Amino acid sequence: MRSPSWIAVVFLSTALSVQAQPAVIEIGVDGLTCSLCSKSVEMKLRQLDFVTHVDMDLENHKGWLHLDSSRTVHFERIPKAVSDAGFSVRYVKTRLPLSEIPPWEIGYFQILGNTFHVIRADHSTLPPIVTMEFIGPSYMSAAAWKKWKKMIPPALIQPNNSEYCVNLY
Amino acid sequence: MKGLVAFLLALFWLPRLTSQELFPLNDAASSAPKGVWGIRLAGDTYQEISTQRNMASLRLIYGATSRLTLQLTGAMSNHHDKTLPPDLVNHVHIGSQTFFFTQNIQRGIRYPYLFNGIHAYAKYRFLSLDGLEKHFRMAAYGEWSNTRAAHDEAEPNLLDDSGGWGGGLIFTVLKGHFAASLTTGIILSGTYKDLAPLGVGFTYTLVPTEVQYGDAWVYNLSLGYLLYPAKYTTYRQSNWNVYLEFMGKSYGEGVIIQNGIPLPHEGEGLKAGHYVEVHPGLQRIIRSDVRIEASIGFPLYGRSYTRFYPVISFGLQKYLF
Repeated sequence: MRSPSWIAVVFLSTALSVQAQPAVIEIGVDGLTCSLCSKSVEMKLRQLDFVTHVDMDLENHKGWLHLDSSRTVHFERIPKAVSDAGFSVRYVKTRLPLSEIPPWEIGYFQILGNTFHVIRADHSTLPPIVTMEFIGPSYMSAAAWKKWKKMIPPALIQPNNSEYCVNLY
Repeated sequence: MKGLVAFLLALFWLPRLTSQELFPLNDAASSAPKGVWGIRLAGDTYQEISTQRNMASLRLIYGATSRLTLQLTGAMSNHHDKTLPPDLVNHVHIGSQTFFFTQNIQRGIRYPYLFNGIHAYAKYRFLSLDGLEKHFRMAAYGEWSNTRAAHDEAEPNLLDDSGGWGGGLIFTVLKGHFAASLTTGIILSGTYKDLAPLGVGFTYTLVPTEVQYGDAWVYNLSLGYLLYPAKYTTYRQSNWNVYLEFMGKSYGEGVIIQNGIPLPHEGEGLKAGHYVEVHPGLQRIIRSDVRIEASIGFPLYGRSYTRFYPVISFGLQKYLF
């Protein structure tokens, strides 16, 4: 299956409005061993009400969730859907134009009701198209989380709903 | 044994092949997707002298949570008659006394198809160490059966032969192109009670008869790998997988009790036993949705007295998303 054209996705996001939410989420899935397994993951992701459709890369065990711009995205439900299918998330990330990301002098920024706590990034050094990677035990492998956990303030180890820890690069 | 080692090494070194853990005869430690129902039609067949013995089962599968899978299976077969065989018990006269004992029964007798009970199974995956194209998983399972069949061998089998409880652990490992799963558990057998013929020469005299089956320890090793395709591009591709499963069981002796008196056994069927079977199998997955599989079983060490060889097993399974 073909990966989406990121140029087209970013252009569309910019054209919609300032502070538009991401249009596509990319996820890596661990533990997959066959196309039947990938199909199980896709079926659970398609049940999310903010997802319009899912493209799975069967060979590289990753997928792209196309989001419904009229609905609020609950990012925490994405790794839960993968877990409900019986597998684990390797990463969850998306890409946004830098212009969509407000500066975060106070350590976080907000987009459409969701709060993103920036764990490690400098706004002034980010590229025009920014990759936003979600940080947390359910958004990455156990080994990756072990490294990130040391950098996260204790209050953000288990953030509230609609609050997320992210790495920007 | 050398051939088996060579086969396993070949599996390990074959380039760019991923593996499969959808074993035909054993459940891997992985669970069904949460909230998803599945259905499985399975069975086996073998020839016993001049009679074909067949068993068919229908299983409902449900992913209760992301880690807990529930299964309910009903089976029917022509493995047993409605009562114990009339020639199971024989007797000798020594002086003025009569001594009863059990013996080998005549094989190849036609029996009707009977529904003997249901089997319930629950599996909880408590450990998942997932990586890219690899994982190690562990699950615990428990099972119960209310099967009530005129089963006349010591070996317990909670699907279709005998009732009781069981439980154990499943270890499944997958790394690149190699997948293996070990299932180990115990069966705590129930008891069959009915009126049964007193024995040879007393066919029409029915007495309270109880069959106590042996408890068992089971250990099964399943191996699998993907034959085709070499590279996944679409769900519409057919998957062909090949499996090799070793089914081992060690069980205690059984005993027939008539009128409260345990009978000594002269036949093989009620003695304690230990065997390992080997089941090579082939599986096709259609549109990443439906599994069709078949395997054939042979004795590798010892043998089971509940069936003849070769045993052909088949299965058809689908998740209902």
